[in-house]
Amino acid sequence: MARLTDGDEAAYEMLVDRHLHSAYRFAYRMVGQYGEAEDAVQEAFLRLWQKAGQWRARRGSFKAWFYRLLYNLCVDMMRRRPPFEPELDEDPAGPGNPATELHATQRARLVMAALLQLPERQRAALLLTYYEGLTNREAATTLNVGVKALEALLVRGRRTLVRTLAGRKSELLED
Amino acid sequence: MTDAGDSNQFAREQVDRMLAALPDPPLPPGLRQRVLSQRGVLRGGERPWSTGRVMRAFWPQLVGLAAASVLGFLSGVVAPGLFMEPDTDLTPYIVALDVNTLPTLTEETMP
Repeated sequence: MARLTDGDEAAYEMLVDRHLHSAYRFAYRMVGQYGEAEDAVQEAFLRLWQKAGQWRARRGSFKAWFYRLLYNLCVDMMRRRPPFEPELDEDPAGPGNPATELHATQRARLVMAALLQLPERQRAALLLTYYEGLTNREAATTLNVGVKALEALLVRGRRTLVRTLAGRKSELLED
Repeated sequence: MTDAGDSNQFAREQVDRMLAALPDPPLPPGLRQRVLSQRGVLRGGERPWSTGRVMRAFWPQLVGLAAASVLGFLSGVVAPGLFMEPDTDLTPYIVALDVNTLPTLTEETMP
C-alpha cells in the first residue's frame, strides 16, 4: 500500500490481480446483477488508486478498508434502483449429468435468492466472513460496527437464511 | 414433527452445504483490463503534466541542457573574444573586390 500511495503501477496491478475476483464475487452477491457488480468493482478500484493515501494500518487491514469502499458503492447502487430480478449463472455446475446440472442451477438460484432477501448488513456480514475470509473484527470494520454488533448481524442473518431455505427444503434436497 | 423442529433439523449443516456449493460468478471478460486501464485515464485526466510535474520528472535533463547552453555560449562567443589579439590585422581575411574585373551588364549579357 505504501508503494501504491507513491503511484507505483506495479503495486496497483498486483493488488488488482489479488483482489479482483473476490471483489467481483462479493459485489455480485451483494447486488445480484452482473452489470452493477462490474460497475461497483471498477469504481472501487478507481477509488483505491485515488485514495490509497487515506488508508491507515492502525485503523484496520487493507482488506477491511477496501471492502468498505466496495460495500458502500454496492449499497448506493441498490438504493438508487427499482426492485429487480436477480441474475443467476445459466450453468454453474459445469459439464455433467443434465439432471444434476439442472438441480444445481435450481439450488444455486434458491440460495442466491435467499441471500438477496436478507437485509443489506446481514447479507454483507455473512458474505464477508463466510466467503471472503474476513475475520469478525475485519468485517466489523468494513461495516463500521463493533464486533458484538457484527456477531449479532451474523446470527440474525443465518437464522433468516435457515428459515427461508427450510421453507424450500423439498426443492433443495431432491437428488 | 413441527415446522420449527423441521427447521432445526434442516438447519445448520444443510445451510452450510448450500452456501459452500454456491458457484462463483464468472469474471466478466475484459474486466481486469478495464480496471487497469482506468488508471491510465486517471493519469492523463487527474494528474496533468503541469510545469512543476515536468520539472520534477525531467530535472536532470533540464539541468544538462542548461549547462550545455552555458558552455556553448562561453566557447563560441566569449572565449574567442578573450583570446583574440586586440590589434589583429583582419585585412588578409577581407576579400577585396575589384569592380573592374566584374562583368559589365550590357544589352547582350542581359537575359
